[in-house]
Amino acid sequence: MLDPQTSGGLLVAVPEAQTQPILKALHDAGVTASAQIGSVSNFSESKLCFS
Amino acid sequence: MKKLLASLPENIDKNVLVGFDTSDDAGVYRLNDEQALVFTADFITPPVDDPYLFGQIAAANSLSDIYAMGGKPLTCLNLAGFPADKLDPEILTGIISGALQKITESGAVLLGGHTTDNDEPIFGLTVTGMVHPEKIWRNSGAQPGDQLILTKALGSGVLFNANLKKLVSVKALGECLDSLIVLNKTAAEVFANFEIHAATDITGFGFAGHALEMLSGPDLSFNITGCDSNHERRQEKCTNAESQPESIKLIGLWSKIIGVLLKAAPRHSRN
Repeated sequence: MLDPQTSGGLLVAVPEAQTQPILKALHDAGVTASAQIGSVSNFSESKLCFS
Repeated sequence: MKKLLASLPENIDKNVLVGFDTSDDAGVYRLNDEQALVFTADFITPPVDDPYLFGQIAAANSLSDIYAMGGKPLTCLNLAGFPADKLDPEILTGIISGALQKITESGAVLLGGHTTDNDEPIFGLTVTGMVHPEKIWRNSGAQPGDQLILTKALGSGVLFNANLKKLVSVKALGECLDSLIVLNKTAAEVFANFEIHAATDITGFGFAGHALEMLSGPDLSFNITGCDSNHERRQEKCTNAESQPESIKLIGLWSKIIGVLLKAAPRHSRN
């Protein structure tokens, strides 16, 4: 989480309804490491919450 | 750097669409209603010994900022530091050849560059790209309910450090390097077909640093629910390396640091 990445991937916030179509399109295009890794909410406790 | 930039006078040219006053990945300058130029510069020290591979990684890293803004790269200039009195000039040729391969793959062209004498090799690019002024992807803009998509596995920093201590298998290192030289071009082209709210690329500040940049403005939280098998695999590789205890110790330490970082983000600092 904290280690510097060289040439890392894109981190993108997308509307929930688009998530699965986007992931399918990414995988179909060969960007196979793509994954949904979390969600956005109104502020609660801290800016980054891990569960 | 934020403090330094905050001390500079603001850009007053109304064609500056993205300047140094935000934490975005590149600057954007509007040419007309249809076109804006995207500018970025980045260089790195070698994460690997192979010159060609170093050039490929450095170029993919530099080009990524254009993709993270929703742009297409057009032109590049080399930025190189090289100890000409210590290393064979063929090494520099290899670095630039690797970079040129990635530049060509991106559809951009290399126009020239600048090389200076330096104690250790450094290499990167300035990249100029094009974007539609109304289709710029910014760091900010995430909304409650949005989902977060990450397009490459994390862990290259841990892996490279572990590799210095010979804790990483050749296979794991090879898979990591294969990932690093992949341009974010295809991913960006896919995202361009959909509505997206915010984007960045994960580089020198690590996942947490870049995620916090996306959260610098709005009153939001990112809830990281974990990773699927692809994203966990690299961490497993590191912890499964020959000297497990030390790797695990390192990861444990980083987890503690993350805890400290989270506690260091009080409500009153949110804006």
